[in-house]
Amino acid sequence: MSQDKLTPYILLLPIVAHIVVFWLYPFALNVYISFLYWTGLEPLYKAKFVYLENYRSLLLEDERFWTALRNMAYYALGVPVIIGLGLGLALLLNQRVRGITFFRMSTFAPYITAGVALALIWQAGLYHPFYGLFNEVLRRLGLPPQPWLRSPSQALPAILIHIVWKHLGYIALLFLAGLQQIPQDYYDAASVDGASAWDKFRYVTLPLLRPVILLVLILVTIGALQIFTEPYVMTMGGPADSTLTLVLYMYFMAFMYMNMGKAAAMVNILFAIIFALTILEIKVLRRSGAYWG
Amino acid sequence: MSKLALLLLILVIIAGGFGAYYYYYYVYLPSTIITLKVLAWGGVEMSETLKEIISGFEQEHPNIKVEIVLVPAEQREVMILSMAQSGTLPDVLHFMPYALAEYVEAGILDEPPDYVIKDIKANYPEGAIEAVSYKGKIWGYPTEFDPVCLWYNKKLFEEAGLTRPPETWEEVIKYAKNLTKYDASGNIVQEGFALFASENIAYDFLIFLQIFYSAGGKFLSDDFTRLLINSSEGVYALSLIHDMISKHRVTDVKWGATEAFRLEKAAMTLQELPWRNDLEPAMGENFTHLATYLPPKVGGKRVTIAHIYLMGVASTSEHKKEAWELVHWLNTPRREGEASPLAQYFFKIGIMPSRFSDLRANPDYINNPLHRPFFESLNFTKPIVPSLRGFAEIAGILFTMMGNVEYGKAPPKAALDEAVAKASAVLSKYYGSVALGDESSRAFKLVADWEDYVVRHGVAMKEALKMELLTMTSLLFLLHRSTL
Repeated sequence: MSQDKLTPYILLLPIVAHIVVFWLYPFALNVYISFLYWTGLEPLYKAKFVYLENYRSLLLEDERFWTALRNMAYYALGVPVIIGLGLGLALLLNQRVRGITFFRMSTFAPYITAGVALALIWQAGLYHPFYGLFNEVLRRLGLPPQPWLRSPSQALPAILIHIVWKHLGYIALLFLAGLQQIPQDYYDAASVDGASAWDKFRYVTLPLLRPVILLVLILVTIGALQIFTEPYVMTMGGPADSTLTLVLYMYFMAFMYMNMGKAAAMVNILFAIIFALTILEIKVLRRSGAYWG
Repeated sequence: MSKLALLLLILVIIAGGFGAYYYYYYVYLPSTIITLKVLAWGGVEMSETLKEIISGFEQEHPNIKVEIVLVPAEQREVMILSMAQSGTLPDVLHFMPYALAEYVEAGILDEPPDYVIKDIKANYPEGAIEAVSYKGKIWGYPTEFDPVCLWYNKKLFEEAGLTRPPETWEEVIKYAKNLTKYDASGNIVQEGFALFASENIAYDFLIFLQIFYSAGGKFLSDDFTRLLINSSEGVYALSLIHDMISKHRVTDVKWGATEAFRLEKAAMTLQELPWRNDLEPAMGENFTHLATYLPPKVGGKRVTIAHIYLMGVASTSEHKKEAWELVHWLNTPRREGEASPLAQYFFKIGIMPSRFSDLRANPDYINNPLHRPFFESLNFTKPIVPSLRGFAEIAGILFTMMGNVEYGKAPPKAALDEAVAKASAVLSKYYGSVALGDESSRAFKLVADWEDYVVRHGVAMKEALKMELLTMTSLLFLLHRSTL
C-alpha cells in the first residue's frame, strides 16, 4: 500500500484504538463475564464457567429483577409527561420579553446542578415527613401530611416528580432550539388565513417540530431506562423495592452481593432492551419522514 | 519515512527504555523507607485521630511510614472489591467480616503469624473469635464490638408509669401498647417501639435475629446448604415484628427510629452503642432521657448479636511482616493496665473494643450506665451469622424478606419460606454435591500473568508507557510531516 493510502488509516488509529479499548473490549468482556460465576475478588481466570445459568436464574427465578423491570416501565411513564411539560415550557420561553434570558437560565439550572446534591435536598428538605416543605404546605392547607419516600406506593411517583423537575429545563431547551428554527413566515401565512393560536400550534408548530420531538423521545426513553442516582440517594431502592431500578439492582448485584456474572447478564439484557427500543423509534422516525439520515 | 525520522524514532524508543530501567532500579527500589497503607473509614477528624495514634508506631519503627487510606464507611466493602481487582489493596484491612469467606476463598487475606493467633485466643471472647474465623482458622484481630441492646426513653416511661425496662419480648409488647399514642385520626404520634425500615432495613433484620436466637433458633444447617430461619423460632420472631406493625399498631414503619428517638416520639428500640453518635448531637440535653438495658429474653433465654470488625493483612502486601507488626501493635496494650492504641481510638469516638484487657483498662467507660449493658452482653453475644460464602447475596434476600413483611406485602411464614428457598439456591453454588469447584480457564491465565506483571512492575511500566506515548505522538507527527 502506498504512503498516501496508508496515512488516513494511521491517523484514524487513535480513535479506533479508543473505541476498541473503551467500548468494544469492555463490551466483549462483559458478555464473557455474564457466562461466569465470579465474585470480582479473585483473578478472572479462576471464575467458573456456568453457561446460561446467570440468565436463567435472572429471568426465571429472580423476582427482584422483574420488580426492577416493572419499576423501569413505571419510570418510563414520565416520558410523555416530561415531553408535554417541556414543550409547554419551551413555548413560554420562546418569547421576546425583557428578562427572558434569566428565565431560560433558571429553568436550565437544575439540570446543570449536581444530581446527588439535588436528590439529597429533595429527600431531606422537601420530602421529609416531619421537616419537609411539602408536608408543611399540606399542613397549612389543612391536609394530612404524606409519607412520600417512606411509602411503597408514593416513593416512586415522588422520585419521578423530582426527575421530571430536574430534566425539564434541558428538554425545554431542546424544544426551544427546534421552535426557533421554524420560520416566522409560516406563522404569518397562517395568520393571514385566519388561523387561531391553537391552529397554528397544531398545523404549523407540531409538524415542523416532529424531528425534535422524536429525538427527545429517544433521549428521554434511554435516560428513563438508566435511572440510578435518584433512587440510590433517596431510597436505596426501597421501601420494599418499590423504587428499585435495573441499574441500581445491577450495582447491588455487582458490588454488594459480589456476583459479577449476574450483574453482567443484567447489563446485556438492559442493552438489548435499549437497543430494541432505539431501533423501533428510528423506524418510526423514518416512517414519519422526520429522520434526518 | 525519511531516514532521519526513522533514526530519531529509534533513538527515542531506546532512550525511553533506558529511562524506565534507570528509574526503577536506581531510584525506586533503593528506597529503604517502608510505607504501610491502612484502610480506614469515617470522617477526616476520625482519620486525624487515628493518624495521631499510629504516629506512636512510627516513632518506634523509624523505617516505617503509615498512610491512611480513607474510604466512606458505607462504601468500605465496595472499595475493597475495587482495590482487590485493581491490585491496590492497602496493606492493613479493617472491615466487617460478613464477606470474610469470600475474601479467604479469593486469597486476598494473609494468614496471621502464630504470635498473633496466640494473642487473640488468650484475650478475646469466644463470640468475637468466632466472627473472625473461617474454616477453623483465625484471620485477624477482632476489633470494634457492637452488640445490640435495648434503648429506651426514661422520660416517656415515667409518663406512662413504667418503673423498669422490659425483661422479655412479651413485656416489650405490653409496654409498647402502653407507650404508644395516637391522634384523633388514629395515626401514631408516639411509637411504643421503633423500627428502622425507612432508614436501613438491615437494623430490623438484626432485631429479627436477636429474637430468633433468643428463642433458640439455628441459622444454618450443619452442612451449610440450607438456612433454617423458617423454623418455628423464625416464624415467631418475624411474626412478633409483623404484629407490632399491623396487629398491635405500636410502630409506624414510615418513621425512622433515629429521627423518632431524636424527637422523643419513640419509647424503645434495639440498637448498637455507636448509635449514640447519631442521637447525642441532635438531642443535646434531652439525650440524658435515654437509657439502655440488656436485650429482651424469649422464654427465659437471652442472646444478642453483634457486629464485630476484623483487622488483618492483605495477601498482596509487600511488607506482610511489618504489616502484622503494626496490626499487633494497634491491638495490644503498650503497658500493663493500659488500653491498646486502637482501643484508645475507639473510646475517643464512642465505640466499644472487644479485647478483655481494653475493657478492664477503662472502667469509667464500662461502668457508664449507658455502656454497661453492652459490656455485660459480651457473655451472651454471637456473631450475626457464621462466616459463609454467598452471604452478601443472601443478606440482600433476607433484607427483601424483612421489607416485604414490614410493608405488608407478604405474611411472615410465606416470606420466610421464600427467602429460605432463594438463599438455599445461592448456598448450593458453594456447598453440597453440586457446589462450584476451583476450576481454571487457561485462556485467561496469560492475561492474569500479564496483569500481575504490570502490577508488580507498575512504576516502571508507568514510566515506560509515558515514553511510549511520547514516541507514538512523535511518530505520528513525523509521518504526517513526511507525507506533506
